[in-house]
Order: sequence, then C-alpha cells, then structure tokens
Amino acid sequence: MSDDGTYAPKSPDLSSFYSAGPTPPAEPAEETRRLFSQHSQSDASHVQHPSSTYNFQAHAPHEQTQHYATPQTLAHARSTYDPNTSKAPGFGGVEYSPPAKQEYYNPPRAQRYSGPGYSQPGTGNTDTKFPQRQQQTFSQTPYRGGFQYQYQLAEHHQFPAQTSQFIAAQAQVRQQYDYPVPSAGQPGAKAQTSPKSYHPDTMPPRRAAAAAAAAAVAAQTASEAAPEAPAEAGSSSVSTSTTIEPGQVRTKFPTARIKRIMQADEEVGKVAQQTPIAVGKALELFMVALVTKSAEVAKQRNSKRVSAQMLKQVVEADDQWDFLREIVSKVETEEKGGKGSGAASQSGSSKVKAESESDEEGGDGGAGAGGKKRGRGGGRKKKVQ
Amino acid sequence: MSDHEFGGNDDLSLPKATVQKIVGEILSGSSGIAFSKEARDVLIECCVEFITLVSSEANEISEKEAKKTIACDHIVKALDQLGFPDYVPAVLEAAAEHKEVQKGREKKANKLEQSGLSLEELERLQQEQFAAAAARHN
Repeated sequence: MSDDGTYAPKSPDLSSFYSAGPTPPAEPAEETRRLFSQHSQSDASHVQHPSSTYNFQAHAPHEQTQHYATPQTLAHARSTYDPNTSKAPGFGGVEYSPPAKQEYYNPPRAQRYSGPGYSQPGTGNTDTKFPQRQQQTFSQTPYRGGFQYQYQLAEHHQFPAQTSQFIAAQAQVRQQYDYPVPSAGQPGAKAQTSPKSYHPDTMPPRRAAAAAAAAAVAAQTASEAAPEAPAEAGSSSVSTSTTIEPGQVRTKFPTARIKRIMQADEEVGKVAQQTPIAVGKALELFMVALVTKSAEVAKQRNSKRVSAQMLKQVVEADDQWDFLREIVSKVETEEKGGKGSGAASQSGSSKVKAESESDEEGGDGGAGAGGKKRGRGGGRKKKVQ
Repeated sequence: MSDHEFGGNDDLSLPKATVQKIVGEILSGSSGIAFSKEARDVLIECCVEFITLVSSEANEISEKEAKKTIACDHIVKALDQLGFPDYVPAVLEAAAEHKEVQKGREKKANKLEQSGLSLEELERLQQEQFAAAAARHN
C-alpha cells in the first residue's frame, strides 16, 4: 500500500478502488490478455481494449468472468467455480467419487433434514432437482466407467423417496413463512421478529413469546402467538416492501484465512481440505442473514446506511444470535471509550445500558436515540454534541 | 484508526475489502442501502466469532468420534447442533461443488481426455508421425 500512496495519497475513493480491482497494472499476463481478446470476440458488449490495463473498474469484472468462463469452455459444461452459474449443470457434469455421495446423501441424515424447519435460504429448491440431475449424469457422461454408472443407477433408486420428503418439507416451510431466511424449529419466534418495528408498544410480550416458543412450551404460547399472526398479515403489505432480497454472493472468503481463524483455537488440530470451504459457505449464509436483517432495520428507519447500532438491534432481537451479544455490547462500549474523551467514555457505558433497555422496549424511541449516538460516535453529526 | 480498535490483529480477522464486497453483493438488490464502516467492523467480529464457534463445536464432535481431523461432516453436525440447520444443505452443496471443481482440475491435467480423440485416432496419429520421421530419416 505504501507504494500506491505515492500517486494515490489519501483519497477515500481510491481505497474502494483497490478493493474493487486488486490487479496491478503490470499484472495481466500474456495469457490473460489473449483470453481477454477471445472473450471480447464472442461477446459484442464486451468489446474492450485488452491493453487498457489502467482502467481498473472496467477490467476487474471482465477478469472475473474470464476465470469463470475458461474452465467451462475447457471442460464442456462441467461445473465452474461460480455456484450460481453451476446450478444448472449442477451435479451433472462431472464424475463423482461414489463414497462421497454416500456420505452426503445417506438415508438417515436425509430423514433428519426433512424435519419441520428444513429449507435453504438463497439457493432455492435446488435439492428437489436431484432426479433430473441424475438423469443428466447418465446422458452427459458416456465416458464414465462401468461400475460407476451402475452405482449411480443403484443410488437413483433411493432418490425419489428422499426428494419427495425434501419437496414436502420445503413446501411446508414456504407456506409457513414466506420469508427469505427462515430459521428452523422456531416458527413462532421467526414470525415475531421480522415485523417488530411496526409494533413498538407490543415488543416486550413479543420477546417473551419468542423465548417461550423457543423453549417449546406448547399450548399457551400458541394461543399467545396466534393473535399476533393476523397482525403480521395486516402489515404484510408494508413488510413486503421492506423485505430485502439478498443478492447473489459471488465473492468467496479466502479459505486460508478461514482455516487460520479456525486453528487459532489451540484445541483445533487438523482440518480437512474441504472444511474451510464448508465453513466459508456457512459464513456466507450467516452474513446474508445478518446483513439482510440489519438492512431491513435500516429501511424501516428510512436510513440509507446500516449502522453498528442496527446490527446490534438485530443480534439482540433473535436468540439465534445469542453468541454474538457479548461482541456487540463490547464493541459498542469500546467504540465509545476509544473515540470519546474520558468523561464521555464514563457516560458512554451508562448510555449503553440505557440503549439496551430501550432496545428491549423496541420501537422508534430507542431507534432514534441509537441513531444519534451512532452518528456522534462516528464523528459525523457534530451538531448533536 | 479502525485497525487499532480491535487489537489490530488483522491475521485473525477477515479481509475488510472482501467483507465489504460481499456485503455490497448482498445488498445490491436493495435500493442503495449501504453499510457503515463501524457496522462492517462489528460484522467482521461477528463473523470471526461464528467461525470460532462452529469450529470449536466441530472440534468437540470430532474428538467424540475419536477423529484427529475436522471433516466437513463435523461442520455439518456442528451447524445442526448450534441452531443453524438451515445452512446445512447449501453447505453440503458447496462442499460437493468444491469436490467437483477439484475433480475437474485433475481431469484437465489429463491430456488424453483433453485431446478429445479416441485411442484409435491417437494411435493412427502416432503411426503417421512415425512414418513421417522414418521418411525423413531415410
């Protein structure tokens, strides 16, 4: 970064530039340029000078698509790196190692997943397409060895039963809550957390009801939660406008970093090669849930920016995130202490307590106060001070 | 400034630019809602905590099974136990995809597959080249 500072001193725009296109001007090698020109031949809209290496923003996306595109052309409809584009060929293109399949789709676990809360956020009902994919596998891969083919056939018999369970479970989930990120097993809690800002005065009973539902105290909570369901349906026209559809995430987390974070725990020993990938995917879903919800909060408050305060509110609203509460509260106090003076930090801790109380009461009073404090903490709204 | 706020240990955190990019991708559909830097930093902390939580839970599971290596399966079980069973299918899919990609890479290295020619054709080509070389030699 220090070298770049010579011609890009302190502009905040440039920092975002670097994040968008980390390719230095000298980097694109002969090979990439060649691929680039191929690519632009095939696509008229992508006509671009291969030598325009200084155009960071234009360059970066193209390079990305190349990386995705080249394996595809080489491997003939084989799955590519991009999970979104590879949905269509899916499991079809490439030869499978049988033991892995057995590991992932053995009947007992499939039965477990077909429980009440089973669904996939973001990826839709891709699992229901398994029979199709299997058929694709037969037709697309004539080079497959004989014993594998037989194995696929044998496995294919197992699938219809399982997939029907999948479909049934997913359909059930869809009917229960028309919501992008369903949390499993707590339908009551889920239904109550999403529209909470519309009913500021009913917040404490909601939280209580959510906790009770989580504890699975059956009859009473059901009757308590039932009157609130119509209320949610009444505000559904509003909530559909504030529901935020998560965009497709194409960027992947660096697996090496994930592995390092995992192994920072001294107890964690060896980690399989696939494991950081799996954790990375879980992390992605986790982020989608957290970001989407906090963006919903921002939208409800007519704010264009998601503040740390909103993130905190999201974390505290749902018991699913209880392991984050410590972080959220700690960060708030740290930021107050770090940025304010000594006196401010003293009053800061008490303010945080007040904030968390007002958050529990919910609603716009706490929201407004939170917004102000956030602004002052960031040093953005001096006039409030 | 924000680098020093959380101990500045960047190694055990996630790259900010990547996180910002992913957040941007998540929010790309929604009209112009941005993520503040403070929120992003908190989000990164939460992400690290999530990784730590999942991996320590998976570690326990693997120890119970007397395994020394944490496998994908353990992550799946950990997610299940920690209240994120809805992540499991996508995680499995991602892992399977990764496996496919790896297979694809191995395949690409295989020149025979890459040439797209059958063994007979290749043999014929070889004979032709032998003949050409012999003709040149004589």
